[in-house]
Amino acid sequence: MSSADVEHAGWAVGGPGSRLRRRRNPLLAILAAILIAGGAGAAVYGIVRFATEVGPDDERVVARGTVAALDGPATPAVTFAGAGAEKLTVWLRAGGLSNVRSTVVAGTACEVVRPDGSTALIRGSRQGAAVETDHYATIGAFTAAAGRNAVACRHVPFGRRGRRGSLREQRPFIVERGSPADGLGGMWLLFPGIAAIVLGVPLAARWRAGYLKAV
Amino acid sequence: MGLRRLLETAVNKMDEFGERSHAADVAKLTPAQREHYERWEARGAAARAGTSPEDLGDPRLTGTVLQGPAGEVVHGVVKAPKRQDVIEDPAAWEQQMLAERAVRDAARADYLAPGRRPVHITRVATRGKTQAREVADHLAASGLAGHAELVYGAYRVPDLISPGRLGGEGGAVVEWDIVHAADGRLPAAEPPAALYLDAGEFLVDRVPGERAPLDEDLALDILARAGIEPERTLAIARDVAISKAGGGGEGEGRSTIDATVRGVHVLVMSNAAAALGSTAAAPPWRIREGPPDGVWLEVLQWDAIAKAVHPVRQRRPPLPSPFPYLPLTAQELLRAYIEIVGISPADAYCAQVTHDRPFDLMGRTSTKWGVRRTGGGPDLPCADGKLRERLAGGHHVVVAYRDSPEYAAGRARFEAYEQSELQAHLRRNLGLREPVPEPTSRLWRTIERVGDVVEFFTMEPTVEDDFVAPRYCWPPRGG
Repeated sequence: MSSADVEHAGWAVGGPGSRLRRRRNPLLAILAAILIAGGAGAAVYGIVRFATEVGPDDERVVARGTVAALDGPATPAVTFAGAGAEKLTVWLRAGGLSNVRSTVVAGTACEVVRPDGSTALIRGSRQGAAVETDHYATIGAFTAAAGRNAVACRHVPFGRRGRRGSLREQRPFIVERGSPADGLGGMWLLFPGIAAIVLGVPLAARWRAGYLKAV
Repeated sequence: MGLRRLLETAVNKMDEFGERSHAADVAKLTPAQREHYERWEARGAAARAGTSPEDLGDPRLTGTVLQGPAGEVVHGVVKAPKRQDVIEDPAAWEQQMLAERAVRDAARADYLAPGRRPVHITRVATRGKTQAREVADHLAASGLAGHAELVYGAYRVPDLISPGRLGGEGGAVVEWDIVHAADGRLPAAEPPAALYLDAGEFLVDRVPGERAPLDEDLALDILARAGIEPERTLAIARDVAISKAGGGGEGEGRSTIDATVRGVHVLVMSNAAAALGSTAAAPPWRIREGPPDGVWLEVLQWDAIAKAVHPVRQRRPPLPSPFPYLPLTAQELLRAYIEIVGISPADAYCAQVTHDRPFDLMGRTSTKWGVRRTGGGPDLPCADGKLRERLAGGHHVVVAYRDSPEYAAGRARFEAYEQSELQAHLRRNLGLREPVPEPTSRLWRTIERVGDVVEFFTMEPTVEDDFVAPRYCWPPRGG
């Protein structure tokens, strides 16, 4: 009792003399359960995959080098043997504050020289969105050719002059097989999983509310 | 001499202009503003007549609903004392509640009508989407649908149950109170005939400047034209919807939980179905301002009392009550009115705790100023026996009944009770039946639509639109 004036009498329908019964559609419950459980499972698995797969993997690394500092001496190009036309990604090792990191990524450029003498220029500021992990960020991707490929990276001027201090130091980089999006497969599970939950919850509420049937 | 006369004439003209301008300003006031203005004028007149400041009272209580100790605290005349002893334990709280209630019942005993009928308030749980159908079924199953002479009324309990729940009220638990005088079980009866009047439709013929109807004015007019007496009327119940709106981050509009009236349900005995149906055909109807002749429609302030005795909506009212002489719930006030006036259920058209204008339940959800939240309260018992969180609503208590000289005497008793025991004026500042405004011009509507589009794309709120269309008569004829 929370009021001296009100008597609680249960649900309005379904009691003695009631001509209505509340019914619930079991199919709706099954569908809601599948969507919620499946969605939750997919979302959790997607997060796990995303956390474990995103970023460079030692087994796929083909070369390691150093990015030359801005206004500093050039660093030696790293080389690796390409098996054919395959996609590779350059990752920069860079931690720290996100705004400094963004400047460092944008202020990095790499030159790729293929066995046939053709070149490709990769700039961190031209890649759209960088994929970032705790310690690495992508500079960009390129297609290697069969034979000996060389990659040389250096920091280049980017942003306001006063903020270029972070570009005046050398940083390690790695070249890895695959494209930057290879580690994002978990997203394809995470987003549909969330969508399934979003659909399942109102369905569950609809099932719980039921419908009235005359008896 | 000529210059002096000229100056006098100029001053007189300026005075006349000032008077006319003031009268025009006063004429523009809403009924609630006008009421407030007149109370201040009366206070000024009394002061000029030599009434002492002590007799005039504190100016902060001029025109307020609550006077006495509660009024002084609510309106900031004195500071609320710090509470250390608030009871948290539900069992101890209930014991204290019953003890305080016994004292109030004893104080009320002197005012009760002789030969009054019992008042029972039965609360049932429904689902929002099917609430009206479920209540009609319950009235039939309980037999009350066959004995309207035992029913005072029924209403949707204006509380939001499980306020943290996602989604609207369609699938949520919505409670209804049935106020009746049946002491025992009755045999099941035919389901009542129901009529629903949508507040958004143009059902009442009004022109700008005329008073908008109250929901009960319209329902009572239909019942009167249909010849359906209160003995065959089960309830007139406002259709109160509670919905969440707005929200967002910094700089955006704050979130609200609005109780709004969407329409009105009219429930009558099944033998009045044909009369009700035929009378409710072919709107709009030209109805008078106020209830039909011979019907008394009472509207009392509840929220003003709730501010004093139930300051945080999602908690139990604090006990020991800071003002134990005031009713603790709207249902207690409703019962007090019925028992003191001595209303027979056979004369009653409706008895409700309800809302009028849109009312934000997010107000009074914390003891801290400016903090608005839905959580933090205990789970409280619901009609189905389950414990759930709830935000207590309720603005007005509304009772309509066939009038008689005995009831006039009863109202005089209630007035005495109100002033002596409650130290309140519960009919003040109601702001009912406000004049129908002039609709905006086509050009302005176009500008508003453009503003809406801009707002949609920029996500920047343009002009705050707090216009609330009057119910059942919008847009008015000739608008």
